[in-house]
Amino acid sequence: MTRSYRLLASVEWKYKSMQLDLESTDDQRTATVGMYRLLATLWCSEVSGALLVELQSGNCGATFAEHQFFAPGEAIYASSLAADYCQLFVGPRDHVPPYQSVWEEGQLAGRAAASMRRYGELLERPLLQREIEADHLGRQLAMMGEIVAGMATVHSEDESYAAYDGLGREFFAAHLRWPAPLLARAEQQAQTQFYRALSRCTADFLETEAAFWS
Amino acid sequence: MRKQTPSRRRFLKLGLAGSAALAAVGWDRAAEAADGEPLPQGIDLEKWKKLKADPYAEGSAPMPGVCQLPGPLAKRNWPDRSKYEGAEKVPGMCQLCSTVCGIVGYVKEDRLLKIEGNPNDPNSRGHLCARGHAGLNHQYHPERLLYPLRRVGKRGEGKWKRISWEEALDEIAESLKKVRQSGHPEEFAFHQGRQRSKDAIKRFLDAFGTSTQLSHRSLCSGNRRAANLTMLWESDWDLNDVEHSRYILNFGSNAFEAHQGHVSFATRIQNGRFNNGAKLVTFDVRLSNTAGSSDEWFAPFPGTDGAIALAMGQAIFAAGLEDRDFIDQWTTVSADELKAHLQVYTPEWAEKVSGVPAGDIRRIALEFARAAPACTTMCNRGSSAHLNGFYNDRAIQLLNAIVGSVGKKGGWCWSPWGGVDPNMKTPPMPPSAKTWSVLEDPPEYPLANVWRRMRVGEIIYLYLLQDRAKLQVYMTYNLDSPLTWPEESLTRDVLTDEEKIGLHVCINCFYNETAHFADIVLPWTTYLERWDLDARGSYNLRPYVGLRTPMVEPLGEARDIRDFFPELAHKIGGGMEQWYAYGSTEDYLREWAQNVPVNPQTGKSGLDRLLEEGVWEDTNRSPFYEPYNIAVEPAEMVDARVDPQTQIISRSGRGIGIMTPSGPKRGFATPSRKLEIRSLFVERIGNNEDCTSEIARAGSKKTKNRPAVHAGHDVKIDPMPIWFQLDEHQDLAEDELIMTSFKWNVHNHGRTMNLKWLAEIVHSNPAWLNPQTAKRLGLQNGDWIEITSYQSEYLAEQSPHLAHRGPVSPEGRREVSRMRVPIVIMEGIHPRAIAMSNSCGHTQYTNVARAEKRPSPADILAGSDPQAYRDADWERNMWWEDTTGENPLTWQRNTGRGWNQNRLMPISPDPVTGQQAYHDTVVSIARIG
Repeated sequence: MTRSYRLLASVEWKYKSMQLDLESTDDQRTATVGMYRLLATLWCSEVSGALLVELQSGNCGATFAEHQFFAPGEAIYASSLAADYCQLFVGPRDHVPPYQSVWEEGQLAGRAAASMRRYGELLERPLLQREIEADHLGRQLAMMGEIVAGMATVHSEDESYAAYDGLGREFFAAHLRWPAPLLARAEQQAQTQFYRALSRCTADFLETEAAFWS
Repeated sequence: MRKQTPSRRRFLKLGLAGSAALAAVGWDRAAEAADGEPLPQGIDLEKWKKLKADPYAEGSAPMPGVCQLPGPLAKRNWPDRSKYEGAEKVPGMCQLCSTVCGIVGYVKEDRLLKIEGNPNDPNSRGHLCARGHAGLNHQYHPERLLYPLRRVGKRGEGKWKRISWEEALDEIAESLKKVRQSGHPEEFAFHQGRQRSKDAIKRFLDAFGTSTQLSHRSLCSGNRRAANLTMLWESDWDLNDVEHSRYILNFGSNAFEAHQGHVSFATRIQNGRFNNGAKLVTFDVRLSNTAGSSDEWFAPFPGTDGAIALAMGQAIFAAGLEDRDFIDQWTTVSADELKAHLQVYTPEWAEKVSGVPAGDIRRIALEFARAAPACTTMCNRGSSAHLNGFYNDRAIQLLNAIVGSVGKKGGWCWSPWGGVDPNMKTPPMPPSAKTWSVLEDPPEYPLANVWRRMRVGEIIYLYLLQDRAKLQVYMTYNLDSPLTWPEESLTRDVLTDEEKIGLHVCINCFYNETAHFADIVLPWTTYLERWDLDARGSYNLRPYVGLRTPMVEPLGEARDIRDFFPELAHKIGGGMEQWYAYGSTEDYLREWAQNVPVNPQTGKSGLDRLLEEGVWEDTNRSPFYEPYNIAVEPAEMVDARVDPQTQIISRSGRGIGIMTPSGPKRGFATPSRKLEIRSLFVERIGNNEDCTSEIARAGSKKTKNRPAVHAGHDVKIDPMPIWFQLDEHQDLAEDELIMTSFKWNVHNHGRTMNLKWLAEIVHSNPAWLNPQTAKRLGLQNGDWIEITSYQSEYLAEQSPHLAHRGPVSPEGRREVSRMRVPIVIMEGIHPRAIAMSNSCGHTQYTNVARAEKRPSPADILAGSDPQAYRDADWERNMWWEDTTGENPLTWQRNTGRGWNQNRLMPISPDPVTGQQAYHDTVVSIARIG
């Protein structure tokens, strides 16, 4: 079982049993990992029907509604979200390519992709199941999640903590400061409330993270 | 410690909620090892410490491998001499036009840095045109298709969702199974644009059991090929030996910019001129770059090339400069017969129809004849894309026979090897499918499929509209028919109609006008990411083989047909899968290339040699000069029979040569074993007569009689080279012109306008008008006109089955369409012609092709650091966007995406061959405003 998966399993339990302490640094880190993983998942692929049901259920549904992913009790369909995801991030035309190279260099697979491939070598298992370009925003969020997850497993006095901290700062600076224009355009172009909220939340979350990692 | 912000808590809650949801649906479980083995832990810190030396420095010097884009700051990083240090050089073959030049890619850190010509390629010899260099734009275009898509709205509405390959192939396989079960396998059509994976497509279609393979050949070169085949049978493609010529007579070919031989041909023309003193004379209605580079240029009336050629023949005979020995020995007419045939075609007569002075026609004819045998004609779409194009090209080729330059060094040559060296053998192929479809073999066009399958592409959508056929599954491949097919609106209507076309699967690298009307779009690899063995007709007149190999990994989930056809075949089953038992694509290529011999210097052979060198040419083989004079080997004469009347040598009922005064010779691969100036075969095949004996005498295994389904569709074909002019061209009204089309040197027809380096050079296509025409019609440079196009009156009479719709003018002409365009006035166009280039007017195919700069809000700059990333250039540097909405009052010259000329072009197949007559359309023009 991977670190982040173990963390999420604990999150699931704590969340369901309402035993999470958001004042606790450990739990904050755990929740941050969760946030990165959530965003990575939503950016990398369309929302499945099963996930949509979970996102709209109980406390989870209330939290997502609070962030305006949907209105409470609103009927939304995975097929509509898939079409919106496609027109936003896949194409085939007038989409908003979620690749760092495109925004920085006007073409696919540029410097950022090469850099991401090198960061990818730090992981000994694939980040994602689908063939997604190395500098896809979802992939970058997932990678950051892995770094934070690693950080969450060591003591702050530990030598490894400093290493994770250095890695996190460097990675965030290189690969998570770029998306502001993408997120603004995506929010503008989204046809569903869900993806407007996702773009806005990602932008806001990265802003708060930028403050931490600067 | 982390700084807490008010909103942070909200995100933490959201993260927890989302995580819980993810965990509930099994997030990440798929990433766990199936056998329960523990997976490695997350980040490998030790590895990171080693990599820590700045893997990516934001805003610093560029990382090797990234092509710096043009713009004000581009020079800061140029020249970057270290850029190619350590780069791997990977050979490949270009595919941005039809010439397939050998290329070398410089690859570093999985990225293609640069493309240049491969000097090992015997055809292109290391040259590469602008299109080839722009392959980097093609490879890394931000709007490339990366994932399979499924339509979710109405067809043509443009609404999609991403699906997996598994889902896509399952759905396609299910539909194809139903086609097979229906008993009508021909209702699965594969419609290709430019394709260089002939074996892979044929394998799939034959294994499936359909021969409905549709192409664009008749839109391109049907008449030239048919004219060549009529004379030669063994080759549809003349390979003019211009490098060794002393005189080159060019009828309407634009080899310096387009042409199937393009770079290989153009460089040899220039070698012939500079090294050999060859003179280049061009007849073309338009001052192309080839015409402009010629020693002399004449602008004849459109479609009169054949008249000029016949008149030249007459002048050569009149001067006694004909090669009587060649004509009498090696052609199907005697010199006296030919002289008599040409008697009526005087230069003075030709001047009346073409406008070219008789004195010039006579002078050039004699210059040409005096250079013999090192002289050759050349032609292509300029002369052949006419309703009299078959006869135009027959007349042009005749000139080579008259002066005896056929097959001679420096003369008019050909080779039987049009593609990959025949010594290369693919793994076993399935037997050819034996189905028939009116779309693939329409009975109205007798020479379209006789020698080989040229088809009549332009009738496909019309016949579907007329319900002469239907398609259950339609698979398009590298095809942009709404842009490249005549009658754009009809094409779009039929593509939209789900009754006429069932499932439409589109395979392409980009979302083009065809993909817009698909149900499933499959992202295709670029030619820089896939495998092929490939070659073109070689101007060295001997076969060769080149390798296209993946220079870099495919982006996203793009896949080639070599990769997914086997999977699709397995899903369809029913025996298809047995033809895909060869292993991986690389295994397949290895077997195919195994006859490439050892290079003694490297010790490498087969695929390994090609992977290193890119190309192999059998230099031990002599160039294909004067093949008709090759002696028949004594061993072949055993059991051979010589016909006492015709002197034709046959063995086992098949012609193998002809007895001459100097012994048994191979002769020509025709029924007469001679160059068929008079072809009784085409006359008989036009009349649906049985030609079994002619085919046997030719020794041909490919040539077929017309099938029974052609009965009742007789077409009169003159056995001799003749010429006629369309009535509608002879009495043009004041406001009527003949429309012609052309390509620029930086574009192909439908596949390059998305490449920004090329689009910046040419992106618009105003109509060319001669100053005389402009004065007559009161037009000035930059004015806008409305062009109205008409269907051909000649065709209405000859091919009434083509008539379908469009209002009829008071004069009885059927209108095709109207279009508004600006004009540019220049001397370089015949006064009765109007020209437009044909690569423009995209409505899809990326915002580059559409010349749309999506405006960014002022506060949004590309990239996280505006100072570092000011070179990301499209939005900033695309200066040619038309912001006026094509308003004639405010439109700025040289802006916009141009206009699709095929909106105006009628479906117009030559009744003999099916060649689309792109250069005959009568249009009327009227000034706007």
